[in-house]
Amino acid sequence: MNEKRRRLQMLTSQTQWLILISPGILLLVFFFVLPMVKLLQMSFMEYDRLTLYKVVFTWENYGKFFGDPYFIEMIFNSLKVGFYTTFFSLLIGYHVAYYLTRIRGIERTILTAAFLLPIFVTILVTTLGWYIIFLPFGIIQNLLQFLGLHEGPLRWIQNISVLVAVLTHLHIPYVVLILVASIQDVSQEKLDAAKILGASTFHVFQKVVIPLTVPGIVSAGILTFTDSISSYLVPALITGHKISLMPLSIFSYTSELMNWPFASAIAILLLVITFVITYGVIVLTNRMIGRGKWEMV
Amino acid sequence: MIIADSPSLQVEVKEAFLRLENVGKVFGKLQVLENFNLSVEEGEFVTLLGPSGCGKTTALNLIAGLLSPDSGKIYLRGRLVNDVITRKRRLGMVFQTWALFPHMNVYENVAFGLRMQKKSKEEIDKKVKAMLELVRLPSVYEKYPSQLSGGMRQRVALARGLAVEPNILLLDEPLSNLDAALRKEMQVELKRIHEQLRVTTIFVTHSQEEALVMSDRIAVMRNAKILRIGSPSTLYRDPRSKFICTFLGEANLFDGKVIDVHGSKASVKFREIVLKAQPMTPFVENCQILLALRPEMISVRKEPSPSADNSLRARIKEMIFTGNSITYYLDVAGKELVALEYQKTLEAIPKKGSEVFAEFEATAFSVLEEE
Repeated sequence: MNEKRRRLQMLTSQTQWLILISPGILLLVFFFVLPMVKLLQMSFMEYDRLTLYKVVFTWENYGKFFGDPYFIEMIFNSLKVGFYTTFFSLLIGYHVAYYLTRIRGIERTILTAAFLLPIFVTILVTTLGWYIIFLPFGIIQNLLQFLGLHEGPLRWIQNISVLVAVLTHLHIPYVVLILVASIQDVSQEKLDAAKILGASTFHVFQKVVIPLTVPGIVSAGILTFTDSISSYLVPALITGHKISLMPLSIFSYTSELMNWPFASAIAILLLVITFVITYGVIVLTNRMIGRGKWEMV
Repeated sequence: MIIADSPSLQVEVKEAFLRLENVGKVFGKLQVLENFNLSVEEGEFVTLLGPSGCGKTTALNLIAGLLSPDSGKIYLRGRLVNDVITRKRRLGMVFQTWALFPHMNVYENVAFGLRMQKKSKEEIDKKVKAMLELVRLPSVYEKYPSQLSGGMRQRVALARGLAVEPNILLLDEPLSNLDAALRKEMQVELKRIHEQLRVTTIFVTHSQEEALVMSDRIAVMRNAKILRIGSPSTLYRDPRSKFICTFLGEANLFDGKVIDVHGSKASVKFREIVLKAQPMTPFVENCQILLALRPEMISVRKEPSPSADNSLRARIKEMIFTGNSITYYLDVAGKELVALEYQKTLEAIPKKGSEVFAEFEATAFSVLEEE
């Protein structure tokens, strides 16, 4: 009897963690792994007008993609949006985050609230704000018209620069949030120590602050990059189809052209590109700062 | 002022290595440093000692240039440095948290200041190795701060500060994060290193023990001001102020009245006891006076000795035996007296509750100013 109970106890202690983790695993399998497998399968099938797709194995979708300069340009457009958005979000976000960690009291509360508030407003609303300002018949155009500087709709405003500006604006709060946590770990004393030892402000940043906050920069960067390169709503509202971007294309092929196999192929390519770049950045930065060898003290 | 401004005369005037002149600092409404005057000679080990919030760390930060004074002047090697930025002052500093760079190994940490000075590779290598040798950490070049113990981190921080051959080494409570045994060890280490290098050192602490052990001079601070500067023995033996007397060690205080003066000796009436006192400062008859008596000045005897200036009948309330010494808590006419006696013979120790005589010399007293 006792022996049995002990065995049961041992079994439960061994399986306990499995039971605890199973809801997460199930969720991941059913809502992420299976759909991804399905997507990968679909990308190798053939489009059919009547049945939507034919179950065959073909490289045709990928061939079509890489054979067309339009799609190659699309990759570069998406990468451009991703890189520029990440670059500017980090550039502005780092300054803001650094400043936020060096102030105290009411000033900090107000500034933190001001920078984090956009998180609580849906992207749709924030983007519509830009929409009103930038798009044809928006405030800028009306102003130019009022001043007699320009007549008619402003087409140039629907370009990548504006798209990057809007995406940057949307991502800064998240970047600030992550970077504040990271920069806060670097005590004022460490900066003072560097200064006393003869480091200029530039060197304090280059040798101490930046290396110590690389993990934060990488997390914030990856978040911004993956999110902006796959953003659909913002480009749809800002540039429309004036600029070819992968998420827009995926949407078109899925719901307008109903070519699911080709849409799947683009989606898989977007995934691969994002994954390769993200992984590369992580490996590279880890090697650069010797991560894993040291811990924060 | 004219002398300091004229370069030709400046050479002739013997300038202190570091001089703070009427320095003041205000944080919001709080005056954290007021009329702060301090002169430090080259090679000296000066301690700023005081309770927390007395302004000692602020003074250190002003010297480092991490803060700038609201009033007054700071001279380093005869040169006004109020507007000289931190990195141009060439200082070394060890912080309470040591503030090592966690992403650099021990070697890189120590080399940091030398790299900033753009020294050659060979020079850096030689200096780093010498410094780690000096702090007795020669074989941990490749280790990262997180892999070191508190005591080792402390040594690395010290080596890093000393490697740049600083004008002044600033120590901001560097021992307070260590356990008691290690703290004792590091006190001796710091003293040894100071004696070896003779680098001008300013040490900030709230621990009277650290101050007494290591310093050439101690500046006792309280409420944004320096109360008194002096050598450890001077301040301990002749503290003059009640605050310094009780802050630096223990003391029995007697608030009495001078009833009779005979030359340099006087009789002081404290409650119903008459004490014979002969301190360094002269007495005025019929005035109130505050006397201090260190516990180790009192001998506890079973029988009164005829030669003692003062011999008071006492009862042992409590006693603590610590091997080499005994601390007695005596009751003398309702007043508690603490006596510390070192064991020099194997005489029988008096028992708790027994009647004894507390004896001390007239010269053992020091006179304090009530503030």
